[in-house]
Amino acid sequence: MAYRRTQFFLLLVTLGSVTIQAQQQHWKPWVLPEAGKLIAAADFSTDYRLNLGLEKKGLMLGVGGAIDQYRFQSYPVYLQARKSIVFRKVNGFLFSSLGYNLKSGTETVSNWSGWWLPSTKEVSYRGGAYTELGLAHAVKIRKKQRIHLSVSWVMKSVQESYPSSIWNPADQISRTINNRVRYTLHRTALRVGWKF
Amino acid sequence: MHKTTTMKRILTIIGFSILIFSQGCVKDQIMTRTTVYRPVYKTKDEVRANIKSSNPIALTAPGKLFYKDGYVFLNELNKGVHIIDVRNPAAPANIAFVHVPGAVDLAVRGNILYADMYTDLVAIDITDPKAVQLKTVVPGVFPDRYYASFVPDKGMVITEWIAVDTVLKNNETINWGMMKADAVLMSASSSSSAPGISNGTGGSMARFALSDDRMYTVDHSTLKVFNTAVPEKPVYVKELSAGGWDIETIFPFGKNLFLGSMTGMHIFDISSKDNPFRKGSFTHARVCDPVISDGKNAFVTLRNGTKCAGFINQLDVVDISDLSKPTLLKSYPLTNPHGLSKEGDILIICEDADGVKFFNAADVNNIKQLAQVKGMNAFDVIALGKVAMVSAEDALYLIDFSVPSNPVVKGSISIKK
Repeated sequence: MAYRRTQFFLLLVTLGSVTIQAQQQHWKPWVLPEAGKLIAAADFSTDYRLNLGLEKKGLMLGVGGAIDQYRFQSYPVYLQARKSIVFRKVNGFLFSSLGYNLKSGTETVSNWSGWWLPSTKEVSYRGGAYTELGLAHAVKIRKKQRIHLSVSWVMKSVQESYPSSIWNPADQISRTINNRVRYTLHRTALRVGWKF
Repeated sequence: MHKTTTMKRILTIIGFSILIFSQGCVKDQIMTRTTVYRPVYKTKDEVRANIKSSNPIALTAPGKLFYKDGYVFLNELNKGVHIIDVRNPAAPANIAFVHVPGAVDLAVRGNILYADMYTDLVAIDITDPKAVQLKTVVPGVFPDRYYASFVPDKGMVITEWIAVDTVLKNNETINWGMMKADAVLMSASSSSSAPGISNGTGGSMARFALSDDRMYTVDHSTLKVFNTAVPEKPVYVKELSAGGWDIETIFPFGKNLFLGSMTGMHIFDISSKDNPFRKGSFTHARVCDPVISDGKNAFVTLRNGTKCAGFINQLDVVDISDLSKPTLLKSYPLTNPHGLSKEGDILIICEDADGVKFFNAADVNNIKQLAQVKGMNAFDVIALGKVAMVSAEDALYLIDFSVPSNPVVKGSISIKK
């Protein structure tokens, strides 16, 4: 517990130090909450994100966290960079995120593998990579406030593992094996955000 | 005007972006790392060349039992037959192993061991257990021995299954067809003998049965007859309907065969050796049901289980004084009965996790439990004299029941896990 408190304290000191240094170099802080619709293979889903960081001369650097509800509710944390671009007189952003999709714990789920097996199985989860590449358009609503409309390709990865039985036809003995399933989920995200 | 143009451009960009992103980027890649069993194929010639004996090997997946002249022949599923000297029940000795790839069922007549080698029947001279000789192969008589979903080319057989770690992508799934829900770990059937050449004795759950100079085998729905008058040269005679589906066991007694199926018991008359005919049937709920007989009554254990379905665990005593009309005399509740055997008035029933139970069956209307040997998951039993040979999950046990109310484990050979 004391170790985590120390870590948190060091993180605050580091962020504070970075912010002060950045402001001295004319970096300006920004916050961008977003809500998104995820177009995916299995179904439509949603995510909610909070990005914050510093910007200078059209370059926005920040960190973010999200609640991603597609297939497995998970919590990506990431670094993000946004660079303003002008295309045919339209002001937009090219942006990218890179981070880790947090997912852990175990849960009991229905077992559809066979009627002769237990009706439920214990599944444990681990997270994986989280990446994103997209385009955004900023619409000015007030001074220093923008609505960001974005479209992006976003990928999250989740690993699940669960035990199951395998039957050896030769000696007719079953043994328990551990199955690991790696889900790499590619989605298209349409988001609207309010930058201030 | 300017605003309208700008909005159109924005919408165009977003539209193109959605199209681009959606076409190739929306998919779920699922990679499953798991373990599957893959078959290893060999030619039949290679397999036959490998029928030989060797030094004893550890019991790992024992199957059916057969007893003859102080020796237990214990099947090692799909690999061969252990030969175990049990002349001294207190010190059973594993003396040799006969490699018969694909063996599941077995019987012994004279000095000849019969076993199935996948789809073939083989006759092996075991006069010298440490130097056995393949005498005859009767090819293709057990076509049902191919594994589900894996039918190899003609001339090729599956000799073993190896566990391999594999990665299944996207919608690939494990082939559940190669998996089976329930183990069959039972024994063989008893017999009478022809002059000069004796037949061995088996148990209640065998699918090979010797009677006089014929061997009868059952599979799911057929009864096959082999002429074993010349033991080392078995000759396939004929095949006929076994009277129903899901036939599991065959037990010979006198001039009759008792076939156990998941839905009942069928009695075949073998007065004419090569022309068995069904004399009668006794039906019950769908359960697993090995059957034995003492000539007056048939004893059928019914049990539930994954493969067997059903919800019954009991012993049915069936009056067979009129073979054409077997009738239920009485049922006795049990826990999870498997194989059974009867020696004189003593009825011995394997009760899986409840061990082995010994009953006084002198009065079939009032069968009383005398004793129970716990501490083993018992599957099948052959009782001869005053010794019960019990196939259990962890060992082959030899139980002395000279005093039926106080059976004593005399010796055992452990099964390697």
